[in-house]
Amino acid sequence: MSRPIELSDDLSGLMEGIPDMEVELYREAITRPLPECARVNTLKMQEAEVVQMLEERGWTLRPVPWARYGYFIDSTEGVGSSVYHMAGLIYIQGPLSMLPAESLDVRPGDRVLDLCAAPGSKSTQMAQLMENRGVLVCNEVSTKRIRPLISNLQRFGVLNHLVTQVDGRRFSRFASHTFDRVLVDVPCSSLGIAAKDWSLVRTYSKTVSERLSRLQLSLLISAFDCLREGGLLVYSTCTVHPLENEWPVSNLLEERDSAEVLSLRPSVLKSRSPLEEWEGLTFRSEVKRCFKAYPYDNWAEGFFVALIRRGR
Amino acid sequence: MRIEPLSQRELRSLEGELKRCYGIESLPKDLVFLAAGERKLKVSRVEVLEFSRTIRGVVNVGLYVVKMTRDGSSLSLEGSQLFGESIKKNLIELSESEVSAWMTGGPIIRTDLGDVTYVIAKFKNLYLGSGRVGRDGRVYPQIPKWRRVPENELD
Ligand SMILES: C[S@@+](CC[C@H](N)C(=O)[O-])C[C@H]1O[C@@H](n2cnc3c(N)ncnc32)[C@H](O)[C@@H]1O
Repeated sequence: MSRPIELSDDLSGLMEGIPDMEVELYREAITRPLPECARVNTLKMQEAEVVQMLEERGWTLRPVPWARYGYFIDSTEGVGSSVYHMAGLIYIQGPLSMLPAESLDVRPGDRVLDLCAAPGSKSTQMAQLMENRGVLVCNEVSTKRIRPLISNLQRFGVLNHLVTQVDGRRFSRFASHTFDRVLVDVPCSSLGIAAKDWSLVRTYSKTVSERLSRLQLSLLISAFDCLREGGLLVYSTCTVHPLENEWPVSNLLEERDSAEVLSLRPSVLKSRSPLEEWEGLTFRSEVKRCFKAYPYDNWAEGFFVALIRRGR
Repeated sequence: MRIEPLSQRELRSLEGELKRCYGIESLPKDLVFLAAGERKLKVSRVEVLEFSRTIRGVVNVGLYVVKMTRDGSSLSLEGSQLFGESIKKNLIELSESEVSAWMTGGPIIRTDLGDVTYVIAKFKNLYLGSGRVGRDGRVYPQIPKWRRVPENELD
């Protein structure tokens, strides 16, 4: 048996303070590698044609029930260095990471903003759902991460995109009331995807989440302000920390009267109710409508997804 | 970043060039062609281009599709996929093992191509961009380094 992964003291403390968290299950879940998973690119070829090509190559594919074009893959060759990946016929993406864009209901012709876009997993997914029509703005602040973003948009054949490099907190200063759909997939402590990198849990410090939560709230407010009336927004993280999940959403509701949280509970996924209070903080009851799953719930990543509408 | 669509004259010249090299009869009407430096061209949509003028911080627009060279035009993988079935000449079909070789950037053998500079490779309905035809009976794929499959990954 492999040795259990050590959690930092701060993380152990956090886990004990989250009422429905089963620390041993969490620890066990992040020891197991995540399933191999990818989206088939319908911007280049028909889905069935690509699937057939991969199956003829000896890959076994099983659809991801909650995301169009998503497949679990069983293959003996390296998916990430395969011809099909390099040629842009598939995009490797974690299964639950497909949920945020899938939940946003983007349609061909929409004007869509991805406020924190690099490296472009969800941007390419939305381009596909938009059938390359309308306008897709992919914003990213980091110079280092812009290049992979542009490369991935190219590889996937996205032609309705434009890439901007702006601090997302300022985006609404020049683009308020502009977009039909906004995705804000914020930087987070990534505790839901620690299976990819154990150093995240070994070195985690609570100051990380405290600092991030303020940035996340500012990004969420700016993203919301970019929405037109009646538009939809998805806020997502791949972490389990209430300060990065329930707290920013609850605070948005305090700051913006027109924000309305919609219920998001895909029946094919195990999920759990977000918290209404944590460590002396109380959150608005509407946060319970958000989607939350821990890494041991679905043999997938841990994710938090809020679907928000801008009313009048 | 200032992005300008090609003028009518430049478009006609591109159209003529693509017809000469690949038998492509006309350019897609719903797309705009943009000059991207180093004789490279990109495509985008009108509404994207218009929108790009209304917001700040734009660093990239459009999908890279063609590089014009002195002796022909080389289509990117996406460019060739975009033109797809309208490519009527200088198209070669690859076998599955040739696809693997092509994607490593290695040449494939074709001795019957005659006097052409570029051909486009295809496997089923997947178009894999242009390759430069050498005098030695080999075709050298123009796959950028970042998209090549590492050779040790091939079976
Ligand atoms: C979780 S990642 C996004 C992943 C991406 N949505 C995808 O699916 O591929 C968060 C991104 O936000 C970027 N970021 C951090 N601070 C930002 C800011 N102030 N404005 C815009 N982007 C920011 C990070 O550089 C990082 O690339």
